[in-house]
Amino acid sequence: MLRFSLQRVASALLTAFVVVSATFFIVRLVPGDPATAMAPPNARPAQIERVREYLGLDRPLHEQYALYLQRVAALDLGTSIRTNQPVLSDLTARIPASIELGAAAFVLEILIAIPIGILAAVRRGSRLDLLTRLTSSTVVGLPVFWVSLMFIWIFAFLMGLFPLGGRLDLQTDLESVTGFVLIDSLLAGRPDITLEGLHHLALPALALALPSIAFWTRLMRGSLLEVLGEEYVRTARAKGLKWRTVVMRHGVRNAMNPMVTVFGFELVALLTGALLVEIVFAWPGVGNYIFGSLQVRDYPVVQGSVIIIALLYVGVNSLVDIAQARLDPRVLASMQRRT
Amino acid sequence: MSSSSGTQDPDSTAAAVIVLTGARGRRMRGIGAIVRSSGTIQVGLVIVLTLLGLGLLAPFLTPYSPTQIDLANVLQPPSPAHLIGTDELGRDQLTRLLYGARVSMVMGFVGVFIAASIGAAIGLIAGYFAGILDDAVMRVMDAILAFPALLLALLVVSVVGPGLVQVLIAFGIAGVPFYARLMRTMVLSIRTREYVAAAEALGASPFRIIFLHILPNAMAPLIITTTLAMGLVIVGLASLGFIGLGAQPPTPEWGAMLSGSQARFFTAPWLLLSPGLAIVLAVLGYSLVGDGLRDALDPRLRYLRV
Amino acid sequence: MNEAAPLVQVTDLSTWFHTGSGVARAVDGVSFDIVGGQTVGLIGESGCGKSVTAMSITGLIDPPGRIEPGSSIRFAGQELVGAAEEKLRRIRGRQIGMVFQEPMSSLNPVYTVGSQIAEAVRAHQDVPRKEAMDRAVEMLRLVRIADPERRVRDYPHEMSGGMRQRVMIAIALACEPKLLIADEPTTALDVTIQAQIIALLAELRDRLDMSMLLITHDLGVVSQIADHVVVMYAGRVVEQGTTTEVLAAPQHPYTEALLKSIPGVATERGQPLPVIRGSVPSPFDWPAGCRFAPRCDYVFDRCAQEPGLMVVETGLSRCWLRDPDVARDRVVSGRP
Repeated sequence: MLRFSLQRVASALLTAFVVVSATFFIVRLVPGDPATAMAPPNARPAQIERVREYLGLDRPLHEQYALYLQRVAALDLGTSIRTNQPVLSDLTARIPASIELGAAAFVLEILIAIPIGILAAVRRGSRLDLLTRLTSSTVVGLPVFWVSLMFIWIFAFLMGLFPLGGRLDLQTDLESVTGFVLIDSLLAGRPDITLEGLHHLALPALALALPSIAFWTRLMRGSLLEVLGEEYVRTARAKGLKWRTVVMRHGVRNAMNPMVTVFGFELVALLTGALLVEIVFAWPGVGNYIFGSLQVRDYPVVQGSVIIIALLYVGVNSLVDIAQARLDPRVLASMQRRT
Repeated sequence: MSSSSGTQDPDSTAAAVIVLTGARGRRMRGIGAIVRSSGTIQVGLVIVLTLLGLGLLAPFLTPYSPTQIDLANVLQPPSPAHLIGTDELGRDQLTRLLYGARVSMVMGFVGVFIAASIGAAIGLIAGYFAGILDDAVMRVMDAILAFPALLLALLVVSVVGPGLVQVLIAFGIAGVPFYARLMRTMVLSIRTREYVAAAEALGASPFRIIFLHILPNAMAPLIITTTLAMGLVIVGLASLGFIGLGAQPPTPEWGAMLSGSQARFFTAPWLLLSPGLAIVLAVLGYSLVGDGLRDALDPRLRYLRV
Repeated sequence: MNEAAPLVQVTDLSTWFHTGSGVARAVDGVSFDIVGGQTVGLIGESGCGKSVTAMSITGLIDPPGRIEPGSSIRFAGQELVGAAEEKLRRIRGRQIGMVFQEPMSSLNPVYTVGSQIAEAVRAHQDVPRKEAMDRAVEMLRLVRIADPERRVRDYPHEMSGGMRQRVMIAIALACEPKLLIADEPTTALDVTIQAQIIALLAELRDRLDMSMLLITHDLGVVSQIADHVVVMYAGRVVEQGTTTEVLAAPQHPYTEALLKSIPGVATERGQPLPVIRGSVPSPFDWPAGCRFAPRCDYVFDRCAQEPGLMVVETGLSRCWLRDPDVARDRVVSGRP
């Protein structure tokens, strides 16, 4: 197990390296002048020169590469043209907002999709099952930004049940300790702000979660159905276990395995979805930041952010692999054989 | 074999399809039979082909031009003159939707087709000739796979600037590894079958073997993957269009038509609903076809998430 | 002669599957008894309904299958057909243990074998986990798995087929049931392992004074271990009796044909193996009249009507040839 984990980490580092290098080469190999691209739109020649010097464009390629790698290793991702702050600190300031959104969406997904998926599988052929299958088939392909727009239109604009956007009402003042509204408000002894935060969080989290809920529900249902047809489930019943125990301990437990694999993809979906949802809901997270930077052609930000996110993704996928090996001993055996 | 392999796993995909396609490389049921057998596929095909048709025939279906600005008739609700109303520059919404179909459906289709072809070719060659070539190629593929498609598109755009073609190329690059891995797995499995060994023993050239024996067997999962990918590309295009990348104004694109001031949308709901419904419909159509094909060929492929 | 009521009394059991393509009458009026301490072998080809019979006894028939009204299964005096699920659940595992055919897939791959045995114990007895695990080790020892203390922490995929089947037996016997139902327990195993498993079952049966219902298509297995044999064909019982007698002098053409089709030491090389011509009919569409008639070498005009179970010296037989009136007629008319 330990050896496998180390192997996975090493493999992840290798991929990370490839990713980072690829970014370097893409910028350099594309026609046009990278310095101009990296400088503000109406930069004076002196500014462009400074950027050129910073990027080391006048030095040989391998020196540039070394410089670049050094910077990345030191987490120096450049400076935002817009805010004049290091990209990294800009990102770190905004990450909690995105995490809060993503985490809320994830919790919603688990809480809704898994029970419904289980019920649909156990009551196969019932009306609940059919309804579940129909709705999930349609919902799963819905673009997340459109869902967000629709949600705002229906629930906020037309029905006035939810706020139109933002993390908190404009007048609300909250000192930022952890960056998480829900935690900070409790720390400040203001549960009313916590509620307000939840109120603002509800709609974007649900919009972000919706397509994934549909997907996970279908996956859970299908996976559980397949598992319930296995022989060891028959054995479990023959032992005289309660049906609920059979379903949960033998059925769901095994049905989860394929889902863990897809978990990595799920994170990507959450990531890219969050980006769009933040834009629609004016949610002050990383996504919104990248969007704003794109609009003013603040490319260093975009590049830096993309690298960070890609690296995060690689890291998470490795964790998922390790988790899956832990959950299913057979996977560990086959992976060990392969590597 | 059973539960734990029913996932994003080209190996089980390959195995499943091989079981069904029989020894001589002929599918056990012709395409016509498959389509006829599944209502899901039929409905999906109707949707997809209608939208494709509308996109291709757009110029003939509407008197307006999608870029025709009419500042006197800004933000008009649906009327006999403008069946889905006009947008903030007085352009006819229906016309823009139809031309948007060209962008999403037609261009999207072309993009995916090219990506699939390139990916399949890479996979075929890597799988057939194996060895160091295979290893090197697959490592590159895995590295690309490490990037979420949207992120890759963002990266590309941040460097080369926005535009429809740029975005399509970015999605293409992001998609190639999927097709390559799929093809490669199919090739590796089929290659070991007896009739391929027989052909090789008879001295058939690699090309002949690839085209006559391997390719027909590998088509099925490739088609399924491509179909499902189309849905994703349409959403991806729309998402990027929404952010302002992708197709640039004045080219109408469904996602781009949804970006901009939200307040305007809420007072002119026809502008909000129509492009959204178009996107949803297109995605639904492709999902139905893809899912239907997958169920028809082997329910075990159910967990293929592209 | 055992005067007490039989442990298991199956009377007129019919289990039908109501599918979209029709009704499959997998089990169609089957009756037999199992007395305490006795081993009954249920033989027949695949498709004759033996497994469905076994599953019916423990109430593990899922829709669209259904035990038809009019069926009765009495276990230790209690009626199982139509009983509440909770009552059936308490009997499963505790009073009736089951062993299935595919040891490779009958064990949950993500739990250790020890925990799966312990689970069987704790399903019916309120016993702390440690104690249940100790019991698991004991059971592994009982089924003759070497080094049980270490093996108890193994995962199923770390064991061979034969060992897994032993684990299955351990699970089935964990609560010391009165009846063990073994559905083709050796079919998926190597021949040498088969012999070991059968020997193990025999030994356990004697030690634990258990009844056993052994379902198989293998007459060899039946001859080794069963006291009584019930031959099934096309959803019905066609012959019953003590093993030695039935095998020595079969009273039904089907049983006779089964015996003849076993290659023996005396079978000459180069001769085609005797087979039963034709194939098993579909449960959706049992033949009218005697169900074995299309494949029978002795078929005659009476066979157009389905025979009932006739009493014969060795037990019961569902064949017109055993009807005393018919026999007399044939003698009179000079037919064999």
